Amino acid sequence: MPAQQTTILRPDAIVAEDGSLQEGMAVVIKDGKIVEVAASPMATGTEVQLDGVLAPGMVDCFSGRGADRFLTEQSEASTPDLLAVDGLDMDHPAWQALLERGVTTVHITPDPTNVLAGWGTVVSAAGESRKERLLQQTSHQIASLLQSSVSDNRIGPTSMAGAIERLNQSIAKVGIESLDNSAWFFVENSEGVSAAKEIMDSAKTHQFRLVLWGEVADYGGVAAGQLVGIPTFGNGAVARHAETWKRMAKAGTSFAFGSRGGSGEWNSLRTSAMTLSRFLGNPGAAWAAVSSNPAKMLGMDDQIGSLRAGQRADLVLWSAHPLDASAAVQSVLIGGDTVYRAPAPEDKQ
Amino acid sequence: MLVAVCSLFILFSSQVQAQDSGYSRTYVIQADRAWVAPGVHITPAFVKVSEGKVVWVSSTDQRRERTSLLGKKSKDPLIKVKGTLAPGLVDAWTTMMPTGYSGDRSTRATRTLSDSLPMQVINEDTSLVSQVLAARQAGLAAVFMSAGRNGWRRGVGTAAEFTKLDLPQAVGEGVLEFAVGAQASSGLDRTYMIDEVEAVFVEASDWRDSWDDYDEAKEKYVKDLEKYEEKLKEYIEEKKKFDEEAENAGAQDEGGDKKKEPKAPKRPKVPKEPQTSAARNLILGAIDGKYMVRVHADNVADIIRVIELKKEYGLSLVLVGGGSADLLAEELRKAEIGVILPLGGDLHAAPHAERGLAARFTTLVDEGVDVALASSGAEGLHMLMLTRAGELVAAGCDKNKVWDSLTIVPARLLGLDGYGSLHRGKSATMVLFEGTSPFDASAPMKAHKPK
Repeated sequence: MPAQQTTILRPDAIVAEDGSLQEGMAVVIKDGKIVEVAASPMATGTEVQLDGVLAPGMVDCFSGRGADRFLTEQSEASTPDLLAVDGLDMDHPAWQALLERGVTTVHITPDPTNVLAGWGTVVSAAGESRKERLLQQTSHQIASLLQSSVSDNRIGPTSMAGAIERLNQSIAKVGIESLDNSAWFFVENSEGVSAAKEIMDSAKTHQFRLVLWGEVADYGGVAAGQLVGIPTFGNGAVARHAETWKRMAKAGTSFAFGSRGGSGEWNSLRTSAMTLSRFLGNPGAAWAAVSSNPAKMLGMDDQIGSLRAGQRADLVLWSAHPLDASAAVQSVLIGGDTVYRAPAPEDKQ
Repeated sequence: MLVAVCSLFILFSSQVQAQDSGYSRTYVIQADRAWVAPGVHITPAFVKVSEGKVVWVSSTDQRRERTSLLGKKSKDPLIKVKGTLAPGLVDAWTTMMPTGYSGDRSTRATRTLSDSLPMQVINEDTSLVSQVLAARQAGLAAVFMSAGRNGWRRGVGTAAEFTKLDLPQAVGEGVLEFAVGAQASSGLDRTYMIDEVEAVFVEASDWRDSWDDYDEAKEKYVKDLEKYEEKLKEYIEEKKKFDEEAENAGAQDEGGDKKKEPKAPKRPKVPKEPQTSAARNLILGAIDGKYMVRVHADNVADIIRVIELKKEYGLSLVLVGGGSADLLAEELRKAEIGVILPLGGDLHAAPHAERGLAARFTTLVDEGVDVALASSGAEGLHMLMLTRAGELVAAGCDKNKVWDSLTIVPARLLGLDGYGSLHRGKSATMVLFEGTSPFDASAPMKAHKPK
């Protein structure tokens, strides 16, 4: 990354970590990173006035976008060696579409088809080179306890017990490495959650993460107090989810949105966050679900997801609060470089 | 911003609906602002509500002190709230319907949804109640309930408001629905072809014409009957004569010339009265202006014929779906046909696209066509209406026009006098938002259900 001089960005407001707008704050960036966020920064450098609200770029917690094929290997029941990074297409049109919608980081995961589905990869939506864009070449092992994976009548196990057996065998053979110390379990009911806990207990690690697929009502209180991944939702699923999300939030569950398995819409990350904000009456929790929470799930909250010194300068300038549906992306910085600028209104015609 | 400060603001609506929705209390809400109607925003805002309806809206407290018979002084209770009050949304296209209701599957549909709707009474339809609760949460005050599912809308749907018990209650006359288009397939999801829709109107007006033929035929029958009776008398005479002659001749000789036996005259047929049918009566009701007509159509070719249909029969007609309506904006304006666009589909795929929803909306609105933005679905889509509409603003649509298309325009297109603004007599089911607009999900929004 080429050395950049110190730039002091002065937007109308910034989106603080609690989702609120803070006016009169300056964000100082240098060499692709945020070095200071303060009302009167110590640093000196080029001052840039920005019309709008500056927010960290959104993070897609688990996605299939930007990969050039289905990331599935179906000749075996477990494919612990499948690497999402191998299926990456850096020139995929999805990257441009994601930038236009304010998403700067994507965790691409294998399709959760096999009980061991393979390893994810964390990619920046833009950058000078492939190397620069790969933030984590291999991120987390994706294990799937979805019904479709545990009752596969071709190659996979035929029951939840069979799936547990297979995962335990894999751990016994290769060690916990086969599953990763911090595997992500895609589950769709409370049975899947208990199975994931059982497997990780027997492997003597509690570092796993849950992605709650399917019907939220099936989980009961299993995710109380935890940070969990949830798919973005579209048209039909909204009302069904509303009450359950509210109860889960009350029980201390926090959420991270991923677009894989969710609605196929490009804007689903922000739409889901806006809808969650309305459900919970808590814009902070909703904003975290597309920024700091997915970063935490990925163990990358020191690098992405909020406006703090030390974070990557992955910034999005919005015309209003990003959870205001009428706000539009004005420009996007990745690693401090402007990678997208919205066309002027007259060009849109 | 368009904040007009008015000292006193009392407006009268055309009509106050008489239906009882179960709301009983009288109170005044004080808010920071109110979006009363298009272009009319007041600061601060006092709204008096009684029995679920707005009594007055003013930027000053208009409450008067009353003295009871016992000499006690009192005023209407005042409820202070933070934020901006605005009329509740009107969703002109939903799939909300009572549990187990499945419309009418025949092509000669007669089913009328309002007959199946619970009317103010406690009902066991918990699914419908939950749909209404979801709609309320989304800020909706009224919806259009279709008489059939998406693919085969037919029969008579109805606009509905929500009662105190969170049940939908039919408002106004029913609306005759047709879905036309190339997606016509077999079985339950079959839509009409536009030819079939035209055919039912042609048949109905032909049938009406056939009464003229019947009247003529009846007159002719009366005359024919007189003639017949004369002829019959003649025949009886002749026959008598013939029989006598035959008898005499038989007695005299057996060989002679035989006289021809007279023939009996034919009795004229009674003309048939044209048959009535309930399905046709609905079409005639539409032709006579009793029912509004909704046609779901997307193709240019279909929409052109829908416009012709409206002109031919002088229908009160709304176009629903209207995927290509922007290409016929001028024709639709001239024919005074409003358009209900769905807030789903391609919006997220390409908000700025050349003919994405934002572009199509703007083209129609700029031409002067009445455009309503509707969820086009059930509870889930209601809850996304404001975000989706807000995204149109982000994509360059006029904020006020978008808001109107969720409130006053759909109310007009559904013929709902009591919705879409906060004028006197309108529904007091309102939204209360704290952000810069109802589209701002970074601030709380609540729905106000009248007490």
